[in-house]
Amino acid sequence: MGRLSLYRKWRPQEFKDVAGQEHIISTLQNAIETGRVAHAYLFAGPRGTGKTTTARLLAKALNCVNGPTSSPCDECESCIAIREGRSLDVFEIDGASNRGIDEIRELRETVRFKATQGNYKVYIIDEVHMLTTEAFNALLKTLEEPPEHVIFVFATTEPQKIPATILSRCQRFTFRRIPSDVIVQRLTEISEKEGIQAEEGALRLLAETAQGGMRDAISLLDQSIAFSENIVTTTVVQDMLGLTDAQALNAFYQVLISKDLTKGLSLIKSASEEGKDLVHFMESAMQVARGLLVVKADKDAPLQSGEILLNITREESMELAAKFDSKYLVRIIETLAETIQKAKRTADPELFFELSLVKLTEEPVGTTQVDAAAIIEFNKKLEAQSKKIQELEQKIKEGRSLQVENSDINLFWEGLLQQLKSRKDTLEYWAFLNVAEPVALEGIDLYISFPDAYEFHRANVENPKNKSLIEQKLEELTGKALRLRIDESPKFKRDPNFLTKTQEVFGGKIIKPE
Amino acid sequence: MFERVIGQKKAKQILSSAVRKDCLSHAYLFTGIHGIGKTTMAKELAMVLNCETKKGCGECSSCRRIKQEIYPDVRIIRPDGPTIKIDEIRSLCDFIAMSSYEGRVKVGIICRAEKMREEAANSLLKTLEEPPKDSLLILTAENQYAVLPTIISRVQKIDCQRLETDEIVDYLQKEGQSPSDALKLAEYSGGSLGKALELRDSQEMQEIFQNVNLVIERLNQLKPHEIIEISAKMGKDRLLAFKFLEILSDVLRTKSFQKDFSTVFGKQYSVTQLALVLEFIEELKLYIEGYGNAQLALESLFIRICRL
Repeated sequence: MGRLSLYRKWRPQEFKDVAGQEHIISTLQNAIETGRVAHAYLFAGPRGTGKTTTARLLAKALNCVNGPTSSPCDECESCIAIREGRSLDVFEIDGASNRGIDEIRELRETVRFKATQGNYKVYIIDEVHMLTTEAFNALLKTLEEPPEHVIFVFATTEPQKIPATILSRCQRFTFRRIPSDVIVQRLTEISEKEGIQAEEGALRLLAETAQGGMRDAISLLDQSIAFSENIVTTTVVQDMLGLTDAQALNAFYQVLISKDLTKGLSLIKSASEEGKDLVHFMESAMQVARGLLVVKADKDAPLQSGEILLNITREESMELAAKFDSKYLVRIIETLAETIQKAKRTADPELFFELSLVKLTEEPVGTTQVDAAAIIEFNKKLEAQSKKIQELEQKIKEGRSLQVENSDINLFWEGLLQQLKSRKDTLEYWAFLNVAEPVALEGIDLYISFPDAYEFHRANVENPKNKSLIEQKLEELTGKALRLRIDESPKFKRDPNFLTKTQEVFGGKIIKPE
Repeated sequence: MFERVIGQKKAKQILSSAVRKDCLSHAYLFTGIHGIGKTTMAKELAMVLNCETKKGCGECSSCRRIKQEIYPDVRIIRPDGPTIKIDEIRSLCDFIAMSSYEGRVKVGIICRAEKMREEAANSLLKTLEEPPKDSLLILTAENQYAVLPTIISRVQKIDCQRLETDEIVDYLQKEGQSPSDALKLAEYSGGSLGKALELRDSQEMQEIFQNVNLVIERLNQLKPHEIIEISAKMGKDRLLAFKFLEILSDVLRTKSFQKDFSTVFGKQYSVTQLALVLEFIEELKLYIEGYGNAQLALESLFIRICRL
């Protein structure tokens, strides 16, 4: 256990070793050279991009015996003390643990005193976004006009959480994600110095998995050294990270072509059993779909990451792309993107992957075969119905009194509505009655009902003034006096099995049988 | 090394090779579903590092005390209620900062690290990045995507897998379970030994088990009031309902994804239909976790199934 993690061992001790942040390093170096060092800096950027490292280097540069200098010697007492984290003039504070106002007040007390050895006192507050609002505010005055010998450096991954009043008092530097190439270079350098053999492909994989974080990358390298026998190979890295290989991806796309769900499910199962990271699998599959889409559109497009993942040539990818139509590829991307989101919310990516496969292998809606005979049958019925409506309309127009059977009530109602709609003076009643449903016609009683959502319509029709007007109009149209009954049942007929049916739904027992 | 951990071949391989080469990292994150040996593995690693025979014998005084969680140089933190709070992490950081009492390596274990509140997680960062010499932090998490990226970037992540059915069956048989019982428990456990043991030992789980069986076999033939009764029974507290849904989903998966059509709930359903049900179950799990009404959730699930 005496051994130091690689990322700690290889933390840059000189400005030139900080990778991928040239824009910040050169600005800082210039500031030191010209004596224009600001009194407060904010270093913001994603994890593992060099914020804390740069802060420490800045402290070194200011307090070096030769300093302030843009290239600290890393040999003098001060540089060594800072490197080992025991300098009396450099305070590295964990903002997340010391986040309250009391801690900040204490800090303010110490600010007044001069540095013991070096020229400057440097306060590095890491994870500064976790300070409480009071703590931030307690810092404002000191931060605006600190004593000459004090430099503040704030480091955070979440600058948006920092109050604007703090931001306006700092010089802000935004650290970028480090490009894969730069990471690979650094990893090569480290493994050479450590005397470890590593394949370039392996390092590239590590760099890409790290997604711009140098610490992640070096940490992964550390892990793969522990995992491998002598040489860090691509296979070892793939195996360790549970990355998806070209073979599995190819198999997945074959499944999508053949729409063979059973095979697909067993593919997912075995991938999961082999310890593959299924989210990574889905992400790669999405990359492939994207690649195919691009190749389809432009056969001279530069090499796609999807093609690298599948490990195929342009001809092969064209061939594969020809087997999918673009719409389906888009669907693959959409489905997988949605699935990845969901899978990340719960701990079980396997289930969601399976579900998305079910969705992707089923036949899309709309292409299902419809029985031609059924369509003809349906059309016939439709014709018959419209004939009936016409007849009824005719009857109504002729003003003949109506004998409507209950089975025809829907048609009768339909005809009535048509009439109401066609006449200007009745159009408004149509608007109200349109949403109602006919229930029955018994004698002169026309029973209708309104769905719950149409309370307004019901109220309007129920209004006695309107109601009599409507009844009047109806009489004009049908030639028959009609009485509107709203939301009443025609004669309440009791179902003989009512009791037993109720019991079936709600349980319980019948205490007093009839 | 690690003989007492079931399965997890790859994780064991990574760790034991790191121990052998003396290149252990100072911080690990073990990820994987509940009940597959993450905490056991963390304790085993602590044993290996502090064992008197340096092998993690499980017999010596150190090993035994680590197993019982009374060893002074190994501390285990578990969620207190739904979360892990900042004070606990602070005290863990203090614990790690002090030199060890009798052991060789101080070990801090944080179970279910994704349950750390935001402040707690952040207050761990500095210690996690540069802990003192001869100390080790092990985090475990069921959902790695809920762990802060700033934490992930400071640890070495080791994925633990679902156990194979055989592995669980073997274990249960050694414990004296009959082969057929062992098989059934293993099948219903979804690859989690913890769940299989719970199914075997806890009364509550057996009740869940019976109700899941009932639902799976003949939900469609149940009377409405019986369905309401099941929902009331299984939905009386949130945790219970959650476990019920979990097991229902596991069983449904093994049953439905084997063939094109399967008879569940007392009716034939296509895989697509069952996929919808499974998706809905996942939604309900989130809903219940978000303090939704459990009984309502179950009722709506049953109604949706019957209407499919």
